[in-house]
Amino acid sequence: MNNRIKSFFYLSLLMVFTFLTIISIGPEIKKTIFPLIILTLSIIACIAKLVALVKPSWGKVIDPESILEGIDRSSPTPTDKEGEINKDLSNRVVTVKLSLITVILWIFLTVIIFYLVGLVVGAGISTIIYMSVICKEKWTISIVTAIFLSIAIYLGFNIALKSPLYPGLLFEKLL
Amino acid sequence: MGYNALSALKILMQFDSILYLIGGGLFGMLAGLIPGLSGSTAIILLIPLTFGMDPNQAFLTLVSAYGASTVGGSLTAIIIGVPGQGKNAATVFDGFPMSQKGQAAEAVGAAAASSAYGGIFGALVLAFLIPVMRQVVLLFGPPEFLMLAVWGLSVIGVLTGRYLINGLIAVFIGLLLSFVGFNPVVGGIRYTFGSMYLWDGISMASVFIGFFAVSIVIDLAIKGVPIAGSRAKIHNAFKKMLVGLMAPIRHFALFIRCSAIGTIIGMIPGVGGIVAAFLAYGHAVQSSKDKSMFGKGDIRGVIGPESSNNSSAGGAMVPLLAFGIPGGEATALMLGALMIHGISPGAQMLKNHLTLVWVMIGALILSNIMASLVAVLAAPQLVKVTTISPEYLVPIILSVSLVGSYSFHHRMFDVVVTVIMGILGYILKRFDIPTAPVVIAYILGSIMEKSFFRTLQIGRGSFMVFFHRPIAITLLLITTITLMWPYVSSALKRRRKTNSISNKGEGA
Repeated sequence: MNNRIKSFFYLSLLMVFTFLTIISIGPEIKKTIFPLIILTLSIIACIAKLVALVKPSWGKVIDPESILEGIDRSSPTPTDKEGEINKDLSNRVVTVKLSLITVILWIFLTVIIFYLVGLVVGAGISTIIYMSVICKEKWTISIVTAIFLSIAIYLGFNIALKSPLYPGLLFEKLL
Repeated sequence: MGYNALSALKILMQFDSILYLIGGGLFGMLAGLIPGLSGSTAIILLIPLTFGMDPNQAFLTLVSAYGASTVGGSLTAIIIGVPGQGKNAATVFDGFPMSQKGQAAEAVGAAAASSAYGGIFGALVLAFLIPVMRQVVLLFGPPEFLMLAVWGLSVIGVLTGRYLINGLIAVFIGLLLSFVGFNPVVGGIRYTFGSMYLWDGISMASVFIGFFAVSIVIDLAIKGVPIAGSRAKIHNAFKKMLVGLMAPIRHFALFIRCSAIGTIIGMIPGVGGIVAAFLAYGHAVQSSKDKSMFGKGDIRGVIGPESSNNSSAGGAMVPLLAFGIPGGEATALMLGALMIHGISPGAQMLKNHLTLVWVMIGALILSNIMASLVAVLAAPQLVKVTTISPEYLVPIILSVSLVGSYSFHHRMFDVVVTVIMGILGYILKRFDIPTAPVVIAYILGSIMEKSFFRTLQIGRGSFMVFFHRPIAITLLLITTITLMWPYVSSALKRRRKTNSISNKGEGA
């Protein structure tokens, strides 16, 4: 990710913090006194970050790397200098990758479906949409998965935990 | 205290407790096995199920999932070279080469035994520290708690981010999220933007599930995960596993040192099992006379990180139970779950809920033993879990998470807030802002605000009260050092670099 996008993000964050600071200052300042302290620090941190991004030469001074940055937290690949190591022992396949917009749209669609048909039926429909429509999985597999998921949610929450789930606008009216 | 420990033992021996232990443990282990998921994911999916449970049963289930998840992650690290979670990444260095050389059974045995013994070590240290914790906690008043929370958040902010400021911004965002709704001390509504739903603040379940489950769902769907082929096999398993099981005994001194590293590192907020495992691996290499086999399949390279990352769980419970300061994601979730059940960690918990503390210690020990036994008995079968495609995982996790967020207050509004929190969590991660400090700060925010006002009341409106209390002033000094240290260390590094360049120049 380039510095321009990062700068835009931190600028947006700075604007949010500034807006919150402005609405915090008023006649009832007592209730927002602690948030105001935190907001002031947030604004300072955002400005420092922006300066670090815009002036890379200052960046390392203003925004040093974490002390633990040297520690690799990602999945390491083992060293394999020995000839006896068999590289093909595990074949790793990365499955379907989706765009961020597709995923976000699907999540919002799921929420709308939940509102309309309730959580139990909605979970099934959302699963079918994701598996069959987005990931092009076989319809039979996605329908079976959806039915099992809906049954599991119904049994788990409605029956076992006695926590009634939202029936949805549609079923609420029908019932 | 002996009475409480006995009561806890009685609870642990009940049939339903054993079922919760096995259920939570197996669920945690499966979450640990699947790359992309973690013990935290297991806890977050289990929390809604514990709403209606008795606190003992609830924490038995959650702590079991927490304890067993690390064991699950070590299996995939060894057999297919993909760590189930970050904590197991260091195990890949020698575990996977051992597997490639046909010594998978031995490595699995060593990992299982190290995990079990390490987990027991951490839990025993926690048990021995309880009497001390009770005495120390009594010395803390509101100013000390405020400074302790400030220090805890500083450490978490400084250590968990890739860059110092990113970590601190994460802390500030978390604190700001906690300020939404009623001011707990002086009253008045803040930052609700006219929504009555936000009067009680942003639901804890929405923040937890959004940041830890929905953001993971987005990540899984976008990136996909490496799915291992099913060709990994374990030959002559039983005999070799026995050899592996005895390995931590053969390297007992190393095991004790690495477990101690894990427990101590676990106690420091924000550091956690990942760092503990890498430090223990580094220690195993440095302290060995023959280093030639490290990275090529040395069993000491499995014992070190596995004993350390499991013992860190016990260590991480110390600041959580004594002061209510969570060290990482999993303990933050545990703190949230405690609050959902109406239990405040600290002096009150150590006085009024001591049996629950012992139940948690017992669950930590038993879950590590159980998970290690399952790992030894069913490693080849368990690894097949990694062949589950994200196409199945993504919709299942999203649905269960959103249903869970609804079931907390039975409000659909919470589902929407959960999704917004999930997207926010994903965006923050994309910009290298760690999400664990956001959630930890969100939990500590209201506690800090209450302590802030009580401190002002004690000082009759003056901040000078901090300077009259030795513990508070010491913590303030430590916080300043914590925040300044990255600058000092970075300046030292630059100076060393400049010196070496000028020395080279002079040499030429």
